Amino acid sequence: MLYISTALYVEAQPFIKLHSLKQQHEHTKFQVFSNNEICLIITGVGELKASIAITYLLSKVTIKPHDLFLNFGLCGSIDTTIPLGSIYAFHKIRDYSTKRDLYPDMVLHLPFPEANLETCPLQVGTDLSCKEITEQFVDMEAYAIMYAVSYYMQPHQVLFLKVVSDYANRGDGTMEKTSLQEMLWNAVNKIDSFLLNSSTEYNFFPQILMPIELSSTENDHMEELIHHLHLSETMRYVLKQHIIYYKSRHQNADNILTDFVKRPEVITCKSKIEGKKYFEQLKTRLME
Amino acid sequence: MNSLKQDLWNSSFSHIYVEEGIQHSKKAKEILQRFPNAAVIPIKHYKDIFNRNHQNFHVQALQRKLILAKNSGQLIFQGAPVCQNFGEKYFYYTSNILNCIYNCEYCYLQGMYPSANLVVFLNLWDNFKELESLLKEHPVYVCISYDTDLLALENIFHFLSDWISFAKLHPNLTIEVRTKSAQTEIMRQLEPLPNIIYAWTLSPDEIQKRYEHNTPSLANRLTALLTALSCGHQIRICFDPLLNVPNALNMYQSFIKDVFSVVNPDKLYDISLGLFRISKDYLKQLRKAIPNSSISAYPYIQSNGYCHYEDSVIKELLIPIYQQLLTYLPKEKIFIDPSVILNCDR
Repeated sequence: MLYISTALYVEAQPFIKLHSLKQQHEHTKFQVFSNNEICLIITGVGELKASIAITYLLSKVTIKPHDLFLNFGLCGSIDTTIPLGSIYAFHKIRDYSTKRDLYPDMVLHLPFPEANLETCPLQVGTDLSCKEITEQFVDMEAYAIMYAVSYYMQPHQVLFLKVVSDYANRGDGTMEKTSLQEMLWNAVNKIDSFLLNSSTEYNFFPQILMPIELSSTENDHMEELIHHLHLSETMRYVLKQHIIYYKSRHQNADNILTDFVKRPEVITCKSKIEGKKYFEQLKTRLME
Repeated sequence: MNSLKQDLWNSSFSHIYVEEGIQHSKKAKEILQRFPNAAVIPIKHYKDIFNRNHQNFHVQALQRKLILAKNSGQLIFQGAPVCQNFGEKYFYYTSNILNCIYNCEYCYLQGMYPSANLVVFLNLWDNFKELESLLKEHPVYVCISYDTDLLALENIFHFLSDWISFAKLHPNLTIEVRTKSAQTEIMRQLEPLPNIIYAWTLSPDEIQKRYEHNTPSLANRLTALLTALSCGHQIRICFDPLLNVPNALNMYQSFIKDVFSVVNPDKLYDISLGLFRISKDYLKQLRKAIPNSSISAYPYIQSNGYCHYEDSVIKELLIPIYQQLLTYLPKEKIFIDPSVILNCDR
């Protein structure tokens, strides 16, 4: 699953159109658009709105280890030599107010240049002087988004991609709405070709190791055995660990568990002492 | 496309995080010059990146980043109870690199550190200062490559050369350098000293291929070890950790026979032998880091805060291997948990 956040509708529009995302009307506080593979939220401008929106969305979904979170939008450049429309990825996000930094893990090899980004509470150039900015690029949400996403996802699952739209109210940074839209469309097309492609299953981290889970049959059989053999809570933990160990080498423990659970002596086991005897036999089988 | 391919991932050391206080140091500049294509990111303190919450050790281990920093805390530590002290009274360890370039499934570093990224502390002279004050009080035995593999990284960081210069000035200091590397050429270049012991961890081919990811093969490690021996370096062989895998006894017995068919045991400084054991807290983290590994999934016995194999493994694997080693070396040269020797003598 790909989660996307943008501050404004205009930033979200190319994704919505390109992927035919449908607005989910059960969300009344925020605009959320999604299909089976992408879920996009429009947060509004500023750190407070962004952190509330991200917390709202991510607390409602089940995040999987293969998911990715993308924060996309416009940013300002302090350096007036950087061409407008350039796409940047950010590996360090600074909060203007506290001067604290957050770092997404840069796992994916991106076809975009990387830089540092500073998140400001006010518009740079109008309400804040550029001289007070320590990093090369500025926006108004990224730090809060990184902070909020960190509660739900791991640092390698977050990606910040922004399009340079102005020079913080200096130079020739003012743009017509149509050229801004064109710039966003170009950027989304490039990002899409890299990340999204024509996938029907968005698995961004195929190398992630998944925990060994018991199948429902294995779990049912384990519970039956715990009941029949009068096992304690500690023994339950030990049995489960033995099953996991068996599965780490043989994939499936169902044959052994089925064999044990059907044994007449196990079904009619009357005491903890007798149960312990069969428990030891079962453990030995699971160590093979 | 159902998933991104591995080649869409960054390579190791694609990003180098540098503490602001040391970025202009000579050593930092030397290291950065080796990685001209890396993104260099200034940071205030290494813990800002190394100690972040919810990092994925496994993902990071597949493409480690480098963090250059200055260590300002305690630098020399007394050895932990699970570490063999080789009969040394003043047994310490220190590490100016956190984490290793290898990716062994059983490695306790996965349980010890929140991140797989490599932290390199550039202020090695502070370790030397702290050691010098200890050396004024008593002799010191220090392991400098427990939490990393210094020899494997010598081409990049050259810390071992500095340690050798320091050890040369302090004959009452003994240094152990633990390694799985295959640095044949470096062993030829490094000056052999009587107070520097290179401790090579050797494992059977099957174990190396299955569990010691990215490490040199047994044959390559043996080549480096034999080169080191021929150059006059002090060499310890670590058959540690032995893993209780199917058919372990036969596998380890045949492996040890093969090792001593090429290594002259009389030339060895000593041998260390031990079964896999790990602190219970580290095992908990190890199970999160590599949840599908048969090493982390093993139902270990827990006692005194440590997780270890059941007693039958000592009897059926460790003691027979110990007895086999006794045919090559005297027991004074084989270091093992003393309780095992008692069991063996009975």
